[in-house]
Amino acid sequence: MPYNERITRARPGCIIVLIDQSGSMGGAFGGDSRFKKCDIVADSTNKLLNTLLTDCQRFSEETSEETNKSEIRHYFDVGVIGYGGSTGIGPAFTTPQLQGRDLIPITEIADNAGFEQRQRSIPDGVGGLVHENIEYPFWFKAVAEKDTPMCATLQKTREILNNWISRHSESFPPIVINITDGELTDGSVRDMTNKGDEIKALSTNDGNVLLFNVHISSSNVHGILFPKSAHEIPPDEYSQALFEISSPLTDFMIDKAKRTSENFHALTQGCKGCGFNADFEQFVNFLNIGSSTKIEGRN
Amino acid sequence: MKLLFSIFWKQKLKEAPELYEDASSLGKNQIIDVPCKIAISDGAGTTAFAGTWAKILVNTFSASDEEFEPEFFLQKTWKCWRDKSELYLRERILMGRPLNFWERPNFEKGPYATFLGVIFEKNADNQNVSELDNSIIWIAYAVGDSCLFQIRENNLFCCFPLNRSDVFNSFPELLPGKENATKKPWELFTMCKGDLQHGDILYLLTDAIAKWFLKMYENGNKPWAILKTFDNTNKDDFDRWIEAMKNDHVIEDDDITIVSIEYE
Repeated sequence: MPYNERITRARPGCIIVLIDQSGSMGGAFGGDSRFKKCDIVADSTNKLLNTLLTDCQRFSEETSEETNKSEIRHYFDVGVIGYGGSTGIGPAFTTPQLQGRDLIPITEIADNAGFEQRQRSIPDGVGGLVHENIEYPFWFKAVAEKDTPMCATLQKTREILNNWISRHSESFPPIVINITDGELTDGSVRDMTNKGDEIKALSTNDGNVLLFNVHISSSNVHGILFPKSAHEIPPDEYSQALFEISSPLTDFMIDKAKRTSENFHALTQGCKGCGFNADFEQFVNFLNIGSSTKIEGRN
Repeated sequence: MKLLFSIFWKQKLKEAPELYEDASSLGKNQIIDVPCKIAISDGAGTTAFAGTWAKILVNTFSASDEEFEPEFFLQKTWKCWRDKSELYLRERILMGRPLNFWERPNFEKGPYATFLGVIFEKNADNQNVSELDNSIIWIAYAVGDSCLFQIRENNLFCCFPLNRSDVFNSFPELLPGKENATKKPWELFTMCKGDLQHGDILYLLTDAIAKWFLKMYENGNKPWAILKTFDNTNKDDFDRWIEAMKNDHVIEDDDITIVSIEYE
């Protein structure tokens, strides 16, 4: 049965996020002019990395002199590839130790965060809000410039994955999450489909690479998440092609989705890891569910 | 009336024994007079200090003289965890190492674990009182997928709380180490009662080995016949057997705990 391997230190997993950094990503997210798409995507992806760190963190129960040590376990290699932007296609990490690197062990992510001060509002218990300053960890910043070279990005991703898989053939297969707001500019839809299929053709002994695609919208329209049939999504050629190249969710992801929200109670096998016109909540859910895997130890 | 308690355990492959996150109130094989109590717990390894929390649960259960009441039991264990976690924070600050940003979420969420506790009492209600009446009552309380199996006359007589291998999943019910004002985890407990007769064996198993037990039974086998072959003299055989099953993917690579209770 595929997609059954647990993520362990002996068999780490791989998660790559592809981020559209084209000029249109500077537009409003979901019709709300207060928020730019590139900022929301950067924040959410930084948060995803933070969540992965939490998933990989373990406290030591030992009571020796080395007590009270905790660690980040090497459960994942992670990559964030930006496409568009002034550099074209490449790793999007901006913190110094991580710049220019395609895939990084999660253990190095912990030690190389940048921090910025942000304000958080929390209830004060008597109907009001209290504002507190928090340190917000980040690993890359929002970019919105130029075109959408998605074909070339998928090609590069395939090369990265080929290399990783050759060293981790027994692991749970890699997960690729592609975030975009529009159509590619470096090829036809047919070209994009071919590149997507080439990525999905790669596999470990536990199954084929999982390619998930989420489209985020500038307008305030109803979004669709995890469709099972092409009839559920917009009929245009591009949307249909994104649906075709998206992999189905694993059983574990479907279980996780149902536990996340009532909105996903009807998900069944065959529902695809893709989303169209996703609003903020849908986008965050997409990232969390699409990156969820069974890690060793009870989840 | 005496019960013979035996325990076998094995941590995950390639983990040091100290990183074993199951817990049992039974430290070693022993013979114990009835009335008595025993518990096992399986800490959720992705949560903070799951093994410590599992130990708090089993030790609080077995050390208590009071009648078991789930809410009261949890309040006691929560206080214990609060004390330990506050001490841990103070020690980290004294060491000049306050929690990092990547430690804080798990620490604040707290630990989670399954629980299976069994109380053994002399059967005081039996109307056929005689000098020869030596039956024992057992009362089990469970949250999650750690399981009790009773064997009588070489047959599987009782399963609790799960009775099929296909109901094990990645998201069993778990007891939290921290109180939450909006939730009532004491409502998660289920209870089962039975009697123990001479020759009966009870097994308390954590999930990976419990699932194996049920699967073997569903395939027409008697898994207890295999478990009975292990004793004090062949712990190495037990270790090798578990390792082989994990390497062959017959069972999940998880912490394994087996407690057997025999009424001879």
